[in-house]
Amino acid sequence: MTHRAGGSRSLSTGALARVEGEGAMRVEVRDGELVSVQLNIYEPPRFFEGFLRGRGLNEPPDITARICGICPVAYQMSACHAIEDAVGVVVDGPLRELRRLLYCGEWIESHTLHINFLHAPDFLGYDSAIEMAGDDRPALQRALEIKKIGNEILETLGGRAIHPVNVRVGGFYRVPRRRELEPLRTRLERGLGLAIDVVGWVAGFDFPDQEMGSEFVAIDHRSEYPVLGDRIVSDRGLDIGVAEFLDHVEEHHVEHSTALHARLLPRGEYVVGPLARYNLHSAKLSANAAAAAGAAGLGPECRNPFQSIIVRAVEVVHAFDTALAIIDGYEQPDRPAVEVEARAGVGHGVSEAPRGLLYHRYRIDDEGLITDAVITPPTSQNQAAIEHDLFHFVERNLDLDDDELRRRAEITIRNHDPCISCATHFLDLTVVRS
Amino acid sequence: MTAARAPAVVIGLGNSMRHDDGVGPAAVARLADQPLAGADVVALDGEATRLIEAWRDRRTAIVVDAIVRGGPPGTVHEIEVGRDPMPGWDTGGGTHAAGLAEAVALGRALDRLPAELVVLGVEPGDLSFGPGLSAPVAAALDSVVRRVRERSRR
Repeated sequence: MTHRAGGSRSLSTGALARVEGEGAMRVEVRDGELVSVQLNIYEPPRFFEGFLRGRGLNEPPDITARICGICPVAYQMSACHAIEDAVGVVVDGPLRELRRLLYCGEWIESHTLHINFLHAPDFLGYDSAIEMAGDDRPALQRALEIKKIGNEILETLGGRAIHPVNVRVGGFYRVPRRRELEPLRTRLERGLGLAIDVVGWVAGFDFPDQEMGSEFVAIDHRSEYPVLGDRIVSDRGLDIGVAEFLDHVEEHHVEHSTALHARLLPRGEYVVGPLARYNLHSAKLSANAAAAAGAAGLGPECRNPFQSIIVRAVEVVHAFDTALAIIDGYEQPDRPAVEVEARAGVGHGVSEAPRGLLYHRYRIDDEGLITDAVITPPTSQNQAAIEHDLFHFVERNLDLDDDELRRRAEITIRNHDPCISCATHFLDLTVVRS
Repeated sequence: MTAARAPAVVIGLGNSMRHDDGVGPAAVARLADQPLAGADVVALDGEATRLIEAWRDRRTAIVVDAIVRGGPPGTVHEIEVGRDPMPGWDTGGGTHAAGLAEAVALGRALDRLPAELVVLGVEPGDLSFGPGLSAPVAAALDSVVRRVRERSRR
């Protein structure tokens, strides 16, 4: 849709699909100079923060799971950790392993969706996966199969594939017997092989030269490529406990967005997600994932946002390896959950959602009711860096016509897999030239 | 399981934390209280590939969703999606990651559409954040569930 008014021209689209969520982007050009690039994100976690006040301490995992159909496990896990921290409970051993296994299913599903159906069409010159299905049907059929196997982990452990109902503060409502996990093994082995093939496939795409200068931030665990953990680190020396998160990360309103932007004090923009995890922890990848990364030509670090598609594919291999290792080592715990008793306190929790670090904080009163909630999702942490990437991209490509500029700006956004609201699905893009 | 013998699947799409967008899950909850013979019932968020998996190998799929097509809130639209060109529709400010229309298009491109795909679309009145259906959409649930029962018996 094109509108002309006075000396300026604005161009907008109402349907930028292939980004999970809803948002708007505005590019302003004056006298041939790029003035600003603004990303406006509609952010439901703010609604949920209010909605959680007055609720019981056992409710946030189920309620926050509804923020996002793509990553409900992430919301459940960060919520559980924060509440368990507040009431002084530690969940470890087989229960922690089952949580990691559930999370593997979510990484597999979410990454596979993004790699194959949302991101790959950008590299192959298609407008959508629907168009791609005409020529590249086997790749999409493979992706559906991988995704289904990820789903089977969620169904086995979570009870159902979206908004898993089996998760609770302290652990699970029910834990599987060892033999119940056995059938998954064959399926996961099949998925592992397919996932390795996907790494090889995406490694063959053409990648524009680009390097991100942002600080990379991820959870740290001494021995695991991080999904769960209690420290947060960066490639520029940040090394803090989870409880210190809000001492180092400032969330602030920006005029053009309904979402809060996060910045790391005192340095500014930072990035969470697959590239951050990979750059900080590639040495902890599983054997097959490390081998696949090497074969794909990745070194120990990757700062090209376009190559995030390879890193996601490597993380899917890692998730399959991890899931298999967890099943092999699984011993059914004596009880499905650690007892949780209400007590007043403040708790902090993090986990690595597919899109990056997801932080929750809850204040709980002595009756076990939530008096205050803070949820900092990965996309709001990445917004400033996405805008930064977009600014530099648009600045270098002002000679493109509006349609091509928009198409390639969309690709730049999709590199970051933004879960723009985790609840709605269009991004409006407006280019104003005057 | 072959397509000929697989039971029908009833899919309720939507987000129950977006008021009327939760009409699909609300229909599923109603059907869970009064089970359907010969049909499986599932609630989904609307992400296209999950939809395609849910109706895979089924001869009949019935999808309940909030759909903006015009008309007062609570209006029930019954759409039969064959392998022919599908009617255009809009899932409104819908909360679906990729959406029913995209699932149909992608399913068609991958040759993964059920032979019979019926959409029962309910015109929403309120798609803002929060639980619970608006009065006209809640009132339409009886009609939706009745139509699902009729359709799944065919």
